[in-house]
Amino acid sequence: MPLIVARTFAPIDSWLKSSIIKSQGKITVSDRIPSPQTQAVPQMLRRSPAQAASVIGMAVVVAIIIGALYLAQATVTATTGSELLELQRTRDFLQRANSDTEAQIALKSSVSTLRGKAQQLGFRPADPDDLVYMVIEGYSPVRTTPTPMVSPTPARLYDETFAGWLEQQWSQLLLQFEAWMGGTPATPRP
Amino acid sequence: MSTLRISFNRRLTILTGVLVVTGILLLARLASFQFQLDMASYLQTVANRNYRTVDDRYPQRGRIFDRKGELLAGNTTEYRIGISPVYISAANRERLAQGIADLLNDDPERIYTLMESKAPYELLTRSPVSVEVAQKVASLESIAIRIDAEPKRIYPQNNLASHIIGFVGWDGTVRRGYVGVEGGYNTDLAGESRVLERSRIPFEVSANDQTPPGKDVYLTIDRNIQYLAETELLDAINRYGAVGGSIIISDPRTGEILAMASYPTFDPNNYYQIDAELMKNPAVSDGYEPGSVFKIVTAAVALQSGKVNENSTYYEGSNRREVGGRAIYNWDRAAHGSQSFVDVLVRSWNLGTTWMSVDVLGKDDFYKGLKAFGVGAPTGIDLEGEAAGQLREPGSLYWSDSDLATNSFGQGLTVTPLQMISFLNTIANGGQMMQPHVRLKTVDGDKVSPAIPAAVRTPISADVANRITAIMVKVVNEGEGDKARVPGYTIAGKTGTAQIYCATCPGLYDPELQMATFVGFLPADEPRVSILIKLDKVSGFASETAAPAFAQLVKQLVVLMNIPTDTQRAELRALGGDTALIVGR
Repeated sequence: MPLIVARTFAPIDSWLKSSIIKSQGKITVSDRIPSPQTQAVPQMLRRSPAQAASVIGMAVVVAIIIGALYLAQATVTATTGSELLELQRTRDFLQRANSDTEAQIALKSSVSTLRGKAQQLGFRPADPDDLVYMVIEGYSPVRTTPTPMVSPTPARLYDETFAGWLEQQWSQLLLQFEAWMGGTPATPRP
Repeated sequence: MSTLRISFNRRLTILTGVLVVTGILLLARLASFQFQLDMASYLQTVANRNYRTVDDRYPQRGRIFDRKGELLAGNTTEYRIGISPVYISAANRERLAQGIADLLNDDPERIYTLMESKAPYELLTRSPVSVEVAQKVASLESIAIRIDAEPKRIYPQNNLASHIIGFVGWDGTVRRGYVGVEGGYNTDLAGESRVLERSRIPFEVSANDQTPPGKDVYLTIDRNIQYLAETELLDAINRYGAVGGSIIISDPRTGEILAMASYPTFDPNNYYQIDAELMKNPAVSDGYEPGSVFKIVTAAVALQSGKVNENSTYYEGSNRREVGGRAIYNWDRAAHGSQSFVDVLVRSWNLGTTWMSVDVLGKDDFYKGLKAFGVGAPTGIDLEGEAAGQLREPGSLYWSDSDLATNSFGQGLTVTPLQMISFLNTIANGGQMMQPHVRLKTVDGDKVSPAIPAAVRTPISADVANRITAIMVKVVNEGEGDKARVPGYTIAGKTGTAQIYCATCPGLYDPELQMATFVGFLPADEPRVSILIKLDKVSGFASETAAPAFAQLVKQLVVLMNIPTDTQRAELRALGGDTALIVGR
């Protein structure tokens, strides 16, 4: 029991240890309660500032490390957030620009505009007799059985959790291993 | 040593005191957060106000395309230019005011005055400006300038198909579609708005800040055919002195509307300058007395009853027959002796259809037959504002015995042009009426929802439809519709000249002006297209006005739709081709 107490209060622990050595292993009640008259108190006072300073120093270092990590993470997050905002603004602008361009194209290719341009170029409306119809063997515009499309294997999606990152690393490791073995690189399992 | 101890104890006491006081203060503050809920929510509100904004995000409205993917209604952006006067220094004010005024073509003094305002924001532009102007203003690179994008609906084809497309206007503070497809499919096109809370703190950027756009709607309309219909309609109106009119072109096999033109028309880009009456689509919203084109319905009902056939005859001993106290005449006010069932349509005798409705069918079978066709009921087309037309039936307050006679030749009842072409399509499609529609498909991202053609009525058998078709071919080849003939094509058609009520002589029909209608489809033996032409308030018969307009339209339409002549079709069949599968270049 005294050792458990001593672990909690490190300066007292060192003082107790010295007391135990002095009393040759016999711990008495009077030894455990330091008296102002004993020589142990000045020793403790002499040692504890250095020990306390080291503890405080360690705590400050830990706090600085934690603070630095937080600051670094916050900086990265803020930078990413700003970039994301900028990308969103760019995306919105491009979407609007796409719509505007689409409308401009439609305006410039309206029937009346095209008709006017065609007439300027010397075209005239076709008569029924101008058309030539021909039979194309085997052609049917209505395909009852559509040709199946060969779609590429979709890229594996990973979530942004730690488990997802681990899974991604493992998949890449497998691919590298299989490539090293000389076989066809394995496709990540869906 | 004792001095050291006393000093240590004093410091310890002071430190303990400071720590205790600080602890008490912290506990008190903690307790205030814990128990004073109003204070907590107040602080939260204050915090949110400082770095959060709540926006109603409206998705980009879905676009409208024709059947070939040509844009009929799209979206563009306009910009509003504003300033925050607080960010403008006195030294820069004059230079900036001059620069903005030059770009906006505005008064520099007005802008300078606005820049002296104490308000946090001042709108500079009275109306939105284009992207080019907005970009030039942005190039001034002043933090005081604020440029807000504002969506705008644009109709690049201007007046083309405006009655079908409709327009987008304001419903309070929200934009919504009115009339036509914009109104009928407003829910699909508008998409779903949502409230979006946005943070000004870059840590809290939402990755999903977009609302999905509205669905795109593809119409059965072909813009080239629509353009042809509109130009031919305007030409016919000018040539025959009509005040308005409509043309509907459809595929009788599917019920698809390929074109629907009406005049007067309007430009949906400037809807706010247009009289609301002009925005109504007369082809679906205005009922009219169709006149003799309705005789094809009467004849079909009579044949379907089995009580008469093509060889049945009746006798016109007098040019006048009185039914229910009302005198009935032929259009030429003459009597023609013995006439056959076929002659009734070929020569368009009113006394002939009166014989069918009064003597052959009787009121029960006649009105039962009309109801089977859907007379007096809306077709259910997917456009806003469809009218049902009017059909007085026996037993109703205003029905009289004379209606049995007049209804047989399309007077005393009203139908919309759309209903009339649906009746025609029923005959062209072997007795089966297809649901008329203008939506070809709806596209929502990768999801495509096509419109499935649906049969809604079968009022007559295929045999009766074919027999009526044969008579209608005679109408064009030998009868009153001969001016609708187009060399090389077998056309089934019918003319109709209907009297209209007189504007200056209440209760009477106008002695001079009439409604001229022609309905027809081709090729008669393999119908691919049906057409209705209606000219409002013309002074001539339909055979002299609407019929030649039909022929002129068909000559160009067969090219656009790749419809071969009868000879060409025969040759293609001889070569083993299937003329039902003809495709364009």
